[in-house]
Amino acid sequence: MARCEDIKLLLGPFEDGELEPHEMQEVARHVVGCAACDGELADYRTLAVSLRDAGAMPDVNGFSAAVVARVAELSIPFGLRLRRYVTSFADGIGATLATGFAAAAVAVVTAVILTPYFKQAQFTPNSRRPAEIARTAPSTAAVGLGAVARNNVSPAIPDDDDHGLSSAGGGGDIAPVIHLSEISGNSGAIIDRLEADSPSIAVWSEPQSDTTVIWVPDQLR
Amino acid sequence: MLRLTELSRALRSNADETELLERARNGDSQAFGALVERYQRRVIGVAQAVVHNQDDAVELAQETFVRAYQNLAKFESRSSFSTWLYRIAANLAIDFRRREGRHQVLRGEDAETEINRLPSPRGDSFQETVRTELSRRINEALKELTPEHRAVILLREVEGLSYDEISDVLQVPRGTVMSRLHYARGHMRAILKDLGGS
Repeated sequence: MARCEDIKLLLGPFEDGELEPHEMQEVARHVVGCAACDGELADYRTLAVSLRDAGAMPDVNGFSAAVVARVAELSIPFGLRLRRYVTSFADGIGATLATGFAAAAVAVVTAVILTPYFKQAQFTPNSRRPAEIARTAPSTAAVGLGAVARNNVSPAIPDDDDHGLSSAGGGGDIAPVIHLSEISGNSGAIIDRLEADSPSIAVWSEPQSDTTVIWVPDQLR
Repeated sequence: MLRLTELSRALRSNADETELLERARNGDSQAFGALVERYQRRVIGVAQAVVHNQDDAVELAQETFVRAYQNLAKFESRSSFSTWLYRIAANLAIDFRRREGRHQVLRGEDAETEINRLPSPRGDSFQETVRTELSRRINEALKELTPEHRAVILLREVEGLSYDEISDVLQVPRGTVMSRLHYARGHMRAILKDLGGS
């Protein structure tokens, strides 16, 4: 049987139900056979009742109303103000942001789709496709490989107006400028066929001299 | 069956409290008022356990609720809302007690209570006299305790807080709660014995 000195320390927690189950059993067994500890336990119970009786509770009527009134007088806490602002901002700006994001997405997709065409246009003389040039200059557009004029030796260089300087010395893959103003026929079809058969052939017009130029690499001549 | 009913009621109460807290966080002072109604007695009791004065306890309880409202955003539900409230109340009461120091005076209802405890010229019944005398002795004995011991025994015996709750509210280890409680009970028991002998 446990000694009273050991058990006395546990009497309070025993009364409060704060011991482990095995300790509860040990104290209970001791108290049954020990009048002193049983008496002390009874005193604790009396003390608890007396303390509750002695501690008169104040009247709380109107307490919560007073607290709510004080709370209502407070300025709105910063955190709450911030949360409200963010909520209203999100509500108001949400649709705008969504529209903005959608527009940006469309722009990106469009740019991605159109990029190859822009690149192609960059490599085309005068930034225009040969077939387009031929169609917009119908009076000079008739040309065929068989119509290449050998009498004009001025070379032509795509993307550069100064033909004479660039090809002097007869660069091997530069074709001579051909005057075609007197050639007629279904030129658009011929130019389209040329481009389809050989993408390296370029065609453009020079309206000031009423000339259509066909650029042909050496290998094709 | 009874346990299941109690559990269901507790769960409903928790859900209700969570909703009230959320509304209070969004500035609904009426929802906060409902929470005040729910915990006012306990909060006053905790403050009273520390300062041992009713009027001061009520003022401190009001301040507790105002502070709680201002800091609702910081309450993260790691502990229960009630424990969080009690901790605020205990901290405010401990600070108050430090400021007041030893200049404890009887004010308002406390003074009135003390006056009422004086023997009535008309003469009371024996039982009533004994009860009054017991109450007076209990209060005297409580005043002899240190504020720390008094707070622990009142939180346990009057407010019914568990050891863990007391430990949390007063921010002392559970072992300290047990030893303070043991000392306080021993002291109070001695006073009661003395009363029984006289």
